[in-house]
Amino acid sequence: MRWVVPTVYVAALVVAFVALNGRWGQTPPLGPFLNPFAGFWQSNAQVDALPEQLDVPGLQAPVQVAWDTRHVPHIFAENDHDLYLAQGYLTARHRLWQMEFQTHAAAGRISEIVGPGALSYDRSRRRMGMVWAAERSLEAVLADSLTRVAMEAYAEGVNAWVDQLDATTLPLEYKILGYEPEPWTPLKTTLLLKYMAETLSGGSNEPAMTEARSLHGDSLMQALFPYQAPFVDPIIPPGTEWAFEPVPVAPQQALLDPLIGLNGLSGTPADPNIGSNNWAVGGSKAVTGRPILANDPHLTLNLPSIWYEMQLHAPGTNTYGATLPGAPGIIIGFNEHVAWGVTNGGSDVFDWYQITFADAARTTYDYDGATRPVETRIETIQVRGEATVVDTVRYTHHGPVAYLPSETPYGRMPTGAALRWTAHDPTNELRTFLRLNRATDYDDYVEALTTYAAPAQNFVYADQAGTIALWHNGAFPLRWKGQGRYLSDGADPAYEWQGFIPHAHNPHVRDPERGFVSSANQPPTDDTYPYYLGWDYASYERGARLNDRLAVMEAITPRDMMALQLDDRYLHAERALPALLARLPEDGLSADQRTARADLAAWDAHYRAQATAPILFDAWWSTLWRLTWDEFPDGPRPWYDVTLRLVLEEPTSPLFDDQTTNGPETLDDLVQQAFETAFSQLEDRHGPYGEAWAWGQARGTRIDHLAQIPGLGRTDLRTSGRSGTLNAMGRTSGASWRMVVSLEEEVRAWGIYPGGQSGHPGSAFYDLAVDDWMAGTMYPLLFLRAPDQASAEVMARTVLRQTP
Amino acid sequence: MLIGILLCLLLLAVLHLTTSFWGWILIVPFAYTVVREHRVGRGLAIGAASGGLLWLGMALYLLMGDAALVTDRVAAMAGVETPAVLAAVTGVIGLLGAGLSGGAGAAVRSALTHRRRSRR
Repeated sequence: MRWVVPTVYVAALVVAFVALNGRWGQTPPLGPFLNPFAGFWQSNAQVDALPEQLDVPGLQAPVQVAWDTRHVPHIFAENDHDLYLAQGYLTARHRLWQMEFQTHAAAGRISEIVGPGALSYDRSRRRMGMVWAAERSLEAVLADSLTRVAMEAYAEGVNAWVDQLDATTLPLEYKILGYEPEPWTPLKTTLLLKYMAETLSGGSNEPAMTEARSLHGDSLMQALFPYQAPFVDPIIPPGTEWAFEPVPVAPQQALLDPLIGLNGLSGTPADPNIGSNNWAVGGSKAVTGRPILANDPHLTLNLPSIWYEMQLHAPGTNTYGATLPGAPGIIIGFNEHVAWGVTNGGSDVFDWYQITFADAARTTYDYDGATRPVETRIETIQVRGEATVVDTVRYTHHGPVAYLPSETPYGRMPTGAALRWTAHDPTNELRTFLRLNRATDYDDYVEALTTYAAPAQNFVYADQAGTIALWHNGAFPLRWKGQGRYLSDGADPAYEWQGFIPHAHNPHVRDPERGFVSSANQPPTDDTYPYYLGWDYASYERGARLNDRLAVMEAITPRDMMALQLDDRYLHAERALPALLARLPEDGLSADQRTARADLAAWDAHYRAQATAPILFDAWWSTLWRLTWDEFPDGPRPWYDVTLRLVLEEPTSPLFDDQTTNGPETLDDLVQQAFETAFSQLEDRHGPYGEAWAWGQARGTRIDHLAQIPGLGRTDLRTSGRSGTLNAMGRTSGASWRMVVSLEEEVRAWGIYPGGQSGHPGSAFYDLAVDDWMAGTMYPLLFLRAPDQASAEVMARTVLRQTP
Repeated sequence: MLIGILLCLLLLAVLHLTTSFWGWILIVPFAYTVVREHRVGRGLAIGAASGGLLWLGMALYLLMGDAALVTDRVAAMAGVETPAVLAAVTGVIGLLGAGLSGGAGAAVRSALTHRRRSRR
């Protein structure tokens, strides 16, 4: 009996160990996590320490690093290998978890970390061929000496940091999620680039459009989803001469009647108005007489931040800007001679082909009157806490068949269709950025762009010599007009892409007479351009506002450019509001409604955070829009620009009739009904009309943590602007990087992004810049010419020493 | 008992500072009391005091210093009002774990030495 008590105690001790050492649901293992000597307590501000020396295996010579007051590393190396090794090492020091998590996401490996909840997401990445595409691109990257050196050295640097970590110094997220980093490989970098390609060009509304066409017919679809959207001021100034002989394109084929599962995929596609802007003004419009370039790419925002600032200096290169953690080089930035920036191109490079399998086992498919074999790729998905899932992905010559007819797809993908996407091709986008980092003139810039394929981007350019330019750049398939707007017939060779538009024929403009170049995701050209690029671009508002402003601005200063990035005037509201107010008599309105109506009438269409009119206009217009397009209950609905044209130019159109009622409704009826509904809904949500309706508070912006871990993001940000204004802020999206570069004799630049250099939530630099970003502040960017250059902005210096 | 607490505290501190293994609080008090203490109540007290004090003390030290930011964020993640709750929970885990460990060691010693004491 005397062993009963000790047995109970020891058993309890063992149970306590197992309970505290194990993971329960989403709760981290409490023992290791709460251990104040190694758990989350140690993921503290010590990560901000900047040692005078760091031992980094693999370096060929010492590397000097100057740290500025925002912890931006300015790296001075003696050769390219050491430059990119140091970049990988220092980026990983600040951003390792983010780098790895993003590549896990791209590769469809999130289930390894979070369990079966991510399985369908992971499967979708495999079915889209993300790893297959990354492997193909890796071959191209390693075949080029510049990118091979950069990729391999970068991986070496990341791994040097990974090797120096232990359980105590692991980034916080590893402790929360309970896993450890694995070695970095060049494949991870190409996965990261595919991840960006998928974010920017990996969507399509072909299934939804196909379904809508089958319901409404071709003519209505042509009218409501026009190839050239109304009011657009394209990127390439109208009237620009196309100085080339176009490659002939085979004529249009009959539209396919779809046989395959569209599976209710007709939801509204990803908002193309999430918004990015870039522009450059020539010396004739700038107060300095030298060009000024500005860029503010807008993306869904996260913490750790999307970008990481760096200066990279080695023989032949001295460049500064925003890097993508996980990839060598500067993506958006400048050097001593030139500056460049990007916005998403939006042209259609992503097509679904309906596949007719020739046998029940789906080992062959019909093509050109014969059959072709299906190739298979076995994907192994490890799932935390559960058995490994083995998935077979079928590949046709078009590309991977994402989902079979019997399967439930993830997101908005069709079943029974194969994907043809430019990001699947073995291309080397990294070379473009590394060449831009070293560019000294326009010819270097154009040469750098020649190997760039996906995602298609608008590359703006300016140099000290006074040249400004913009290329709508990428690999664009040669297709007949409208090809790829709906599902394509995967059995008919006539639906194949007919090659690619020659790079020299891509839309571009250099030193235009108007003195500026610009892009805001709008259509690249007017309808004189001899090739078909796509139709689903951002609507006119930002592009037109930007061009209107730049056209009248003179003696421009960098401050003017910064202010323009924060412009929150919404052209759509400016144009629509008078037409709506004219149809909303005051009679019958409540006192609060009359006050609100008066505020709308006095409003200048600026989406300021403290204004109350924007939320009401937004709700009013979006309700009217939904009422108008009741014919498209699940549809892709015609966008605001088409609706506005109808309101302004065809107010008696039968499209304003509500199909669900007996009597005919007019635009006036809908406008009044929409106002009542919107006002009532806003009252329910925010209380009586007043301060609580202020745009910044009522709409709000938040920056979530990349893995959606509560507490590690920022919420309740009261921002101005909306999608459709140059300051294209959304609930979860906004300017991911704002940059202005003045190409003076000594280049000067300013920049900011919503976050901070450190990816460690325990760091003071994790979200350091969020409040300044929200306030519209931009920081002067320290651009050093030598490692020992004196500057009050340099707060520390570190030598990276080679170790055997 | 005070010596026992101090010895355990010292040994735990050394082991925690030199390794990242959290489970020393379940091992060290057990090892001490299985050798030195047969009274379960005292074993519990030795373990609880050494483990609780060490974990709570270290947590409070970090809370007031380098870990202020990370505890704010982890508190928000856990949905607790104040980061001090995290220090308290850390201390309680240290106290309960080490206390159980000390008690278990003492209980084992008590069983081992039972016959000897009976013979006397």
